[in-house]
Amino acid sequence: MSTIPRVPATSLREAFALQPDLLDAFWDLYGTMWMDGVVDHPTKEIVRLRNARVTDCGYCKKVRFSVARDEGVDEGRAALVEDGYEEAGLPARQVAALRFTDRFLHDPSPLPAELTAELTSEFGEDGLVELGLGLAMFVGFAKMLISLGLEPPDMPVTVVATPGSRERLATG
Amino acid sequence: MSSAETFEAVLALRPELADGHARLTALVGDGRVDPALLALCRRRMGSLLGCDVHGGPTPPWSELSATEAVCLDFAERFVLDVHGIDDGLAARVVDGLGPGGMVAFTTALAVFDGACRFERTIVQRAKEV
Repeated sequence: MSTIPRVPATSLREAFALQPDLLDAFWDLYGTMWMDGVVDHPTKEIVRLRNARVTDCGYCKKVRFSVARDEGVDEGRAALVEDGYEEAGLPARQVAALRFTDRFLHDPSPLPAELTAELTSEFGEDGLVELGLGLAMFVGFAKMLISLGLEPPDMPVTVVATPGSRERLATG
Repeated sequence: MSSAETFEAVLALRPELADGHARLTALVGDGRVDPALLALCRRRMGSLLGCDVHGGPTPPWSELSATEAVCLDFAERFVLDVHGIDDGLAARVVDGLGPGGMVAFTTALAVFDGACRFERTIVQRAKEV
């Protein structure tokens, strides 16, 4: 892990300032995925945190999104995304979403019928697409942050406004 | 989902997300980074991820320019071991593309990586139904 920025920036947002129209396009898409979605915020937050753990993104692991926090993803729940999540007491829909997450990250190959059926039963076809696009953004932009050397050397758990929301809870 | 699904058709189940993704994809490919260089990296990334749609053969290393070689190395590590991208490799990419080019390049890699995984898990699954 490098915490030495490789471009003149200290955060992904600052890096994107070098390409402001890319920032706008990214932020619009990310905000839409979060705030205009059909999948509940806690499930998307659990999936995001699983990606953060698997990808080992020092920033993503410490950030918490406000709406999911308000809807029950406290630190106890967030900790359940570690290996062994199948037996951790998470709701079945979130376990299914995490199995999809692991497939997406470790072995991107066509989803097996059983998992597809479970996911579409829980979230619908449009929800599965939303989860997939969310995962695509989580992994891609976590890697972008890592590859630009923008992981903070030390960062406390920090609640920030959910992308696309109008609130401003960012602290720390 | 039918057997004739494409990435765009599947993503169209969420039109506002499809529109946003298409906008972002178009921007990263608008020439701010050499499109041929991005196509080269996308083919290699697609191959590494088993994605027939985006993957394809790439020239031998000996036939690549210095910038192509260093960017392709970066793209491979982006897929396989992103923490293995060291400061020296990143600096060589910045030398070739400039800081703004580096941001655009890594944005493109982020979009490609995610799109290939989406293609493999969801679109390919739909084709097999």
